[in-house]
Amino acid sequence: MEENSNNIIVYADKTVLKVQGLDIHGLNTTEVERLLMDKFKTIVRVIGVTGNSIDMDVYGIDPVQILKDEKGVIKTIAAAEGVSPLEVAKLAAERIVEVDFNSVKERDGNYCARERWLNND
Amino acid sequence: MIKNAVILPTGDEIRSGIVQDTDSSEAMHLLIKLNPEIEVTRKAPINDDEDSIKTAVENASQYADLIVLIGGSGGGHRYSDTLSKDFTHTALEKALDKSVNSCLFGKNGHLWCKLVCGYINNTLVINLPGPFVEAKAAMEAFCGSVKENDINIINKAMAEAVLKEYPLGAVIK
Repeated sequence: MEENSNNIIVYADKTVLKVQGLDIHGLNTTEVERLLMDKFKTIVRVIGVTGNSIDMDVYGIDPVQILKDEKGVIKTIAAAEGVSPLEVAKLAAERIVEVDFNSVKERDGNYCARERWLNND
Repeated sequence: MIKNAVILPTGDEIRSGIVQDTDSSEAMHLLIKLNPEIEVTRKAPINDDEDSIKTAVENASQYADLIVLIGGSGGGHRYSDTLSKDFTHTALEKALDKSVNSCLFGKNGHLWCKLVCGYINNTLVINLPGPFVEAKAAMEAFCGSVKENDINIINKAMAEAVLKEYPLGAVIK
């Protein structure tokens, strides 16, 4: 196949927030994003959902700031359509760490750079 | 002018109903706005599986002018075990006769989004990211640039539109 590729590196700070211990069906991700953006006053993007967890990107906010109000965050998410928190509901938050993209060696195959990075360590 | 479009949502979470598919209806809305006479079909969601996606694209290319795939555009499972399996772009690389793509990487090295634009059997094929605001921005950019009839221009417009959805302070280096 004939193919051309452009690579763009986005230098944005974000915290990856994972909420586990949820019962999810028929989730409206836009509503979750809106509720949390109102709470955090920053951009929130849902990037992954399973039947019991939601992964989100939260931009420009420290993980500690999110984790200090764990119950409030879970309560906010529970206000969205299609999600109910279970007794074991909990948060995990981690700020992304910058890597030197230029030092990541190319490999055959469709790997994301992080994977290439890890496999080259 | 696009007369017959097929929307192919992907993802186990969409297929199982865990997440509502709000992207497909938005893409359909924008395509109808682009051409009120268009016929748009939203097919059943495809499993997160490279062969299934490739087969669906090949089948739709038999009758559609445009194929729009939704979701599976990032590094996904390659980055984290808990993220979804992202196979749309790799399936397209195998299925398309000719294509261009733009990759948006985070500073953590993670592939946040790979947008592909190309042809199979003279059918134009694009993909949209899963997050609603990014899907909407990419689709609006497609509708604004498709008249140029140049996959490089379309792909660039779509990538720039998605990039603008990241917060202020995001910089291209």
